[in-house]
Amino acid sequence: MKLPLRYNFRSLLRRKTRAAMTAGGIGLAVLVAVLMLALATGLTNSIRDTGHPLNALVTSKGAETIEFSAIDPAVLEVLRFSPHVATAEDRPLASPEVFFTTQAEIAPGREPTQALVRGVLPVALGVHDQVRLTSGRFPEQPGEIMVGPLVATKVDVPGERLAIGQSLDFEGTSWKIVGQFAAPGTAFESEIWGPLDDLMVASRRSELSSIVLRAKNAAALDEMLFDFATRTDVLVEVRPETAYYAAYAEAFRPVQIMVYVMAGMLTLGGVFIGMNTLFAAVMSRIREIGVLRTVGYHRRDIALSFLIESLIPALVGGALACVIALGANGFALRIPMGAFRFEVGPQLLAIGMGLSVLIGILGAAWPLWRSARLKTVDAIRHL
Amino acid sequence: MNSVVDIRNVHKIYTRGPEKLDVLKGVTLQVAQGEFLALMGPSGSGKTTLLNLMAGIDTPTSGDVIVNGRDIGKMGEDQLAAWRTRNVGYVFQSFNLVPVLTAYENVELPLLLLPIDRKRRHEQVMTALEVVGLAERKKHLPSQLSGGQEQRVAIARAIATDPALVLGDEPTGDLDRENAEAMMELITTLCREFQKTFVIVTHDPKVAERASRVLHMDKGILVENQSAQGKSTPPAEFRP
Amino acid sequence: MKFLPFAFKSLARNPVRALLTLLGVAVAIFLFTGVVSLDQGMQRMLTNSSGDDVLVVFDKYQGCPPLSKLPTSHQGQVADLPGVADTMATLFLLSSCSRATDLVAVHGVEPEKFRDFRKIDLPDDHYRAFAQERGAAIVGEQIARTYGWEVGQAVTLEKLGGVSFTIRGIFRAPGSSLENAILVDLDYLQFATQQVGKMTLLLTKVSDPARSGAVAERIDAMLASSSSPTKTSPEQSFIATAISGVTGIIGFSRWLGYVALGIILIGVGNSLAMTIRDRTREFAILKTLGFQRGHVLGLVMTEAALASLLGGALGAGLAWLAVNQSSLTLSVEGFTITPHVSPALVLWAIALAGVLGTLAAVFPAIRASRLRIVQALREVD
Repeated sequence: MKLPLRYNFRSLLRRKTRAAMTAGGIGLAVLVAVLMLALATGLTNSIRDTGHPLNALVTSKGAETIEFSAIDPAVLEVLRFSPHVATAEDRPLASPEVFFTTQAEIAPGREPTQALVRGVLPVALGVHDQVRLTSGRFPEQPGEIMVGPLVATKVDVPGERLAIGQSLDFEGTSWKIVGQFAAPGTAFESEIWGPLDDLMVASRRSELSSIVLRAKNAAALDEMLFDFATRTDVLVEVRPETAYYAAYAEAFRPVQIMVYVMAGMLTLGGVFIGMNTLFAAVMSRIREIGVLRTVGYHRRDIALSFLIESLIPALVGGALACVIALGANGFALRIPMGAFRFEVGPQLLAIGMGLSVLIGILGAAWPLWRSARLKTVDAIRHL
Repeated sequence: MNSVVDIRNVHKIYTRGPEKLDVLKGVTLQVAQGEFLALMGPSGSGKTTLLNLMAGIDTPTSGDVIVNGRDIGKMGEDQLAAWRTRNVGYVFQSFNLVPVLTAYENVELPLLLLPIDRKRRHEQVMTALEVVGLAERKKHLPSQLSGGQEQRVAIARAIATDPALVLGDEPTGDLDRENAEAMMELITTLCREFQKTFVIVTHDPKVAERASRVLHMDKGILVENQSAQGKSTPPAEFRP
Repeated sequence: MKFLPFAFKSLARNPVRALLTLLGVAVAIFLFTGVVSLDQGMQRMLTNSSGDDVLVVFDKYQGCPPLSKLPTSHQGQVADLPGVADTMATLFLLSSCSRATDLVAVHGVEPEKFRDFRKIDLPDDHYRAFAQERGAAIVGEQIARTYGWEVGQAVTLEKLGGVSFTIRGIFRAPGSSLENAILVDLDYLQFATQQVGKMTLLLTKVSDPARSGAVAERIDAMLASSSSPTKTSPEQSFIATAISGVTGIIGFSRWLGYVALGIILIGVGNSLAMTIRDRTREFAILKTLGFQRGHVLGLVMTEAALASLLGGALGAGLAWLAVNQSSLTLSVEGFTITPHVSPALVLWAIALAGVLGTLAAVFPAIRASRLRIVQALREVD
C-alpha cells in the first residue's frame, strides 16, 4: 500500500455524482441478489425442521403425499402398540392425523382462499415437539381450532383477523380460534390445527391421512421402519419423517437454482457498472499514471491503488444494500405449499458484502490489465 | 572525472507493428556532476528519448547507459523503479502534479517509497519546498497554484529524495517569460549550491543561454555545440 | 434521426464503454424479461386452458381437485337443464396438489366429447387410436419431453399408484396446462383407480354465454341437497382460484423485475455522464459550428437510446432463448404454468430499455446542451 488511501478517496470525491451512481448501481444489484437469496433461504428453512429425526411417517400404500393418503383408523390400533414406539406418561406417542387443503371464507364479498388444515389429537404435540402453544389453548372441543403464525399470510388476511376469539369458515362450518402456536423452521407454521374427529366429520372423511409415531431411539426407528414395511397384517407405506419432508424440499430445488442464476447475473450487472466507471477513471489518469511510474512507483502499486478505488464504491453500495435488505427480514409470502418468511441473517449479509467485494475486484480486472500494459514512455506523452 | 551520466554508443529502435523507427543512432556522451546540460534539436530528433533513457523509464536497444555508476540499461523494471526514486528527479512540461494531492503531498510522493520514518520524511518535504520558496503554500492543491508555482512544486518533488540527477522535458514550455526566468534561476542555484546535475531538453534559446553546455541532436545523433549562439564557453556561474 | 450515423460512430469511439453500458442493459433486461415471462405464462395459461362459454361444476368444499369426488349421476342432471349445451366429465389424478415443480397429472376424459371442449394439435389418426383403444393415452408435448416418452411407449406411473397406459399420440396445446398432462379414457381411469362412478369435475358448455351466471346458480341449487353439493363457476375464474397460491410469488418476482430496471437507469445515466464530460470540448466545438441546444440534446439522447436498444435486444433475445428452451414449470392444484416469452414481450422489453435509457440521459443531456462555448473550450480536466 504505497500510494496513500487519500489519493483514492479524493479522486472519487472529485466526481461525486459518478461515484454515487456507481455505488448506487452496484448496491441495487446486490440488493436484488440478496433478496432473492433470502427468498431461497427462507423457502428451504421454512420446512427444514419439519421432520423429527426420530419420527416415522405412515401413509396408505402407494400414496406419494399425505394429501392423497387414506388409512383405515383401525391400523392405528395395531401400530401404536409396537414396542419401538416411545411413550409419554404410559401412552404411546402415536399421532393419527388428517391433512387437507380447503377453501376458507375469509370475508363476505371476497373470494375464498386456500388454507391448510390438520386434524390432530393432543398427542400430536408430543410427537411434533417443535410445536409450542404461544397463547390460548389446544383445541379439543368441536368447532375449535388453533393457528400457526404464517396462516394469516397463507389465507391472505391481516394478522389481527386470526386473533383468539375470531372465527374462520371452511368446510361449511364456522371454527373458533382458541389458540395460537409457533413451530419455527417447520411447515406446520402455515397450518390450522383442529380436533381430529371433528375435522374428519366436517370434511366427510372416514380415513386418516397419516400416522406419525415417535421411536424410542435411532435404533428403534430403524426397527420400526423395517417392521411396518414388512408386516402382513396391515399394508402401509412408512418412511422417516425427515425423508418425507426432504422430498418436499426437493421441489424447491429448481427455484433455488433459478435464484442462484439470477443472483449471478445481477453480480455481472454490477461488475459492468463498476468496470465502466473504473475504466473511465484509469483512462482519464493515464498521464498521472505515467508521472507516478517515473517517480518510481511500481505497476503493482498503481494497480493496487486502482483496485481499492474500485472496491470503495462497491463496498459502500453493498453496505447500503445490506441495510435495506435487513428491512425485508421476516417478510412473509404465500406459496402453494403454505407460506414462508424471508430470512436476512448475518450469513446472508456476509454473502451480500462478499458479492460487493467480488464486484469490486472483477470490475477492476480489465481496467487494471489495461493500465498495466501501458508503457511509461507512452503514458507520460499522453494528453 | 566525476561522470554522473555515461552513455556509450546507444541505439534505440521502436517497432510499431511492421514499422521500425530508428530514433537514436549511436549516441555517446558524458555528463559531469554539477553540469547543466541543455539538449536541443528539432522534433523527432530523439532528444526526449535520450532523456528518458537517462531517467531509466526506457531501455536502449543496444549500448550502455550508465548513471551514477550503474548500468541501468540492463536493469529489470522493478529494479529500475526503485532506482529512479533515489537517483533521478524528472520535471515535465505540464501535468506534473497529481491534481487531488496538495503541494506537500505531491512532494512527499517519492519519499513514501523510501524506508524513512515520518519525521524524516516531513523534514525532507519541507526542505524541498523551502528551497523552491513555496513552503507557505504546502496545503494548496495544484488548481490553487499558478503555472509557475506548479512547476516549482514539480522541481521540489524532483529533488525531494536528493537525487544526483534531475531531468527536465521542456520544463519552461508552458510558462511565461517571468516564470521561466525564475525557474532557470532556481535550477542554476541548485546546480551551483547543491551540486545537482541537470539535463534539460528545451526549445528555448533563453534556457540554453543559462546552461553550462549545449548539445544539439538531429535525426538521432549528436551534433556537437552548434547552437545559434555558437556558445563554446559556459556562462560565468559555471566557470571553475 | 439523421444523427443516427453520427451517434453510432460516437459510440464506437469508446467501444469499451459502449460495450459495458450495453451489457449492463442486457443483463437487466434479461432478468426483467425472465420474471415477466412467468406472469405472461400465467396469463397465457388462463386464456388457453379455458373457454369463455364453459362452466366448471366442482365439489362445493374441496380445494384440491383429486379430493373432489362428484357422482357421475350429476352429469345427467346437469345436461338436462335448459341453457346447457353440452357436458363432459373429467377425473383428475395428480401426484401432488401443492408441490410446485414436478407435477404429474392424468386427466380421465370422454374422448368423443373432448375435442368439443378443448383445442389440441394432434393428427386425426392418433386421436382415433386414443379414442378406440382401452388403456390408450395421449400426452402433452411438455410432459413427453420431460420424461422422454415416445408414441407407442407403454408407461406405468409408480408415483400414481401404478396406473399404466400406452401412448398413442403426443399433442401440442401451446400455453395450455394440458401440455403437461396425460389424457386417458374416463372409464379406464375410474376402473384403474377404483373410483367407478366418480368424477372430479364436470365441464359444462352453456348455449348462451351471457346467461352463464344464471345457469351456474341453477346447477348449484339443483344439486345443493344431493350427497355432493356443488359450486359452479366460469372456467377462467375456477382456474384463477386454483392457481391463486402462486400469485404471491409471481407478484414478488414482478417487483424484482422492476427493480432490475433501475439498474438500467443508473448504468446508462452514469455512462452518459462520463461520456459528456469527456466530450465537453467536442460539444463546444459543435456549438461553434452552429449546433443548437436542441441538436446537442438530440445527439446525446440518440446515443443513449442506441446503446439501450441494442442492449435491450441482446438481453430480451437471450431471455427468449433461455426461457422458451427451459423446461422449468410451476404447477399448482393440477394446473401448470409455463414461463413464456412471446415476440410481443421481446419487443416490449426492447422498447422499455430504449425509453429508460433515453430517460436516464435527460439530465446529463440537458447539462451538455447548456454548456457555454467559451467555458467549455477552456475547460481542462
